[in-house]
Amino acid sequence: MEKILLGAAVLTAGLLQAGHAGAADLKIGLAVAMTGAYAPYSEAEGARCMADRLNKAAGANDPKVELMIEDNRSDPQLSVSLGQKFLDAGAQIITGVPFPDALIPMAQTAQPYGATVFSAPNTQLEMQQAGLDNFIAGAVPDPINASATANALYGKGARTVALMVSPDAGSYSEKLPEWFGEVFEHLGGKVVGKFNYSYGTTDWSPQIASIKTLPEKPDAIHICAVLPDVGILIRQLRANGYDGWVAGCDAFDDKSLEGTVGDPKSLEKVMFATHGATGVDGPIDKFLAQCKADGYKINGIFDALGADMVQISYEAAKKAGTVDPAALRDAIRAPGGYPGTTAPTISFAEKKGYPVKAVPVMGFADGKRVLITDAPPTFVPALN
Amino acid sequence: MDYALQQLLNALAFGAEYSLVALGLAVVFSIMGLVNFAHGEIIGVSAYSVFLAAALGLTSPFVAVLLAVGIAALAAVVFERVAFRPVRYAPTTTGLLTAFGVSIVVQNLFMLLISPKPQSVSILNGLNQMWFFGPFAVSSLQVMELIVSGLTILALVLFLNRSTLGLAIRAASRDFATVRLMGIKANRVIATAFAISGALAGIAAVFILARRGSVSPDLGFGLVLKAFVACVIGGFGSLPGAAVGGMLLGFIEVGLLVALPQEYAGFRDALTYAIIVALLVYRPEGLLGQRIELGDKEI
Repeated sequence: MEKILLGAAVLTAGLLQAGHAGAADLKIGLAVAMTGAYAPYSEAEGARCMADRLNKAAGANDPKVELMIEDNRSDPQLSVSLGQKFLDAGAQIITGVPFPDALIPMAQTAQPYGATVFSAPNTQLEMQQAGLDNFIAGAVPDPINASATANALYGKGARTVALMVSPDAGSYSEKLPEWFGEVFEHLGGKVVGKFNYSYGTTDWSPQIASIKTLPEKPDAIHICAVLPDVGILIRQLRANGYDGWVAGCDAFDDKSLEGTVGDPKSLEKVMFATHGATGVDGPIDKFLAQCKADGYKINGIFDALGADMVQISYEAAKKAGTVDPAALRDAIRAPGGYPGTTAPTISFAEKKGYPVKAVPVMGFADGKRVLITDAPPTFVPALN
Repeated sequence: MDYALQQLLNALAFGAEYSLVALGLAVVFSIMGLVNFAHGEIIGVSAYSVFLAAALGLTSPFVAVLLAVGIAALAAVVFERVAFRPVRYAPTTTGLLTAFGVSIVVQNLFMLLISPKPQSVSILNGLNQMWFFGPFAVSSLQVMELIVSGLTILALVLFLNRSTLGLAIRAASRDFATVRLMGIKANRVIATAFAISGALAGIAAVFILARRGSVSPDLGFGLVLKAFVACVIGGFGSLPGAAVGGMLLGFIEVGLLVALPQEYAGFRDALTYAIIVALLVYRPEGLLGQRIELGDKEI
């Protein structure tokens, strides 16, 4: 009987200890696209790499990071279901497909739990306008991206621009070029034409023929499309004799751009705003290279954003001294910000729903990436 | 006028690509009644084989073209043997679902075994040059696509009309049971049809690779959806119909892209399908399809 009582006491103590350790963990649920259309933009491996680093370096009293990662198959509805599963498992932070059709219902689901939806790669303005207190984007919203590109392009001497727009990716492909045009005209430039396209375009001949009908050749063409489409566009524009600028967005930021375009000369007048300077042997490159060497299947800049999300959440938990979801969110938004991979300091204190940080605009010289500008823009449409 | 002619050339090139892929779908459908939505993944297998061969050191575009066509034909035969033969006598919907399943599995294999991101392949880039004739800029690829599509259709017609196996395929598309009673092996006829369909997919893959300069897991899927529409316009099961439907779809797409004012651009797809629906109301069986008796479903 004594043995039974002793065994029960040991078991109870063990359970209590396990329960205590579990309660102190920072649990982040990532419903990420491992398959489907959004798989190239997953932040999961960078998040995993950072979590493992933090756990290795953690002291006895530091929280441990527990990542719950599942494939959302690029499906918003599945993201919502997985989000619920993560919340039931005690996650303080969850994320899903980085678009409003997944993130808004996820944030609504997370509200009663006090949890936060922290979407590392989300840039869509709709999320900032939805009035969700428990939503945080890890990237700057699209109008800021547009403004940074317009400033950089105007600074390079471009004065006329043709916009390429598509309804296929919502505001990213349709409104962002228009916000770019608004800033470009605010600076003194002129939008001389607007042309349609569809995502998945591999033959841009009709659009190029239309651009050629403009009374004067535009100094630049602005487009927010994904790869390989933009790489093909650049190649076909150059083949048609167009030697002006091609400006774009963060979806340009992938090493396959250089491969798809081919000739390094064709990249000379290409620029894009992104989330962090890559390809310049900077801190992001070093982090991603180390993660890759350690066996993580790194995607690119979105992994760096995933790493930011984990690091900021972890530092906030340490600062708050608790992993209580609401206290954790308040700590994420604490003044002073936190160190990150994509920027030395990332602060959510000012805007609450998105970070204040520099927006790098990248270009090319001799086929290699170069940093053109790296500052937060001042005039930003739609957000002002 | 120059502009209109330039866009006409563009429409012809779009149409040629759609026709090529639509023919691949139609060859299989005409015999098995199967809408093979995995046709896009045959294009994908072909493109990824060129990507892997180039990564292993292949530099000859000529060998790359042969490899693309050969692997595609082989992949189509393997798909038939592994996935479609077991459900050959199942209801049509089972075949349709199997095709979607194969498509998803193969796409996911590309993602998980290679990468979800586009991978650059430059071996065929040389096929895509610009030729300037006065005010016209013509892509060498567009010209080749038109010529090769035309020649492929001609070769297909000759094969189907002049060879024993071709005649067997045509006969099978009308009455499979009778063809079997004549002593012709069903497996051979169907495997040949899949091989032809695969070869057509391989030719399409060559043009897609030359234009894109990269491969991605979904590179054939969107095109097959358009080819499916082209087949419906032309009359499903009709080979000339697939070619005509592809051309017509190319003209509708480029026409709307050029003619539609920017503020109505969001209606482009809706208008494309409105035109197609209007065509199908006029000819429910498609432009060159055969009318099917619908019994009490007739209006």
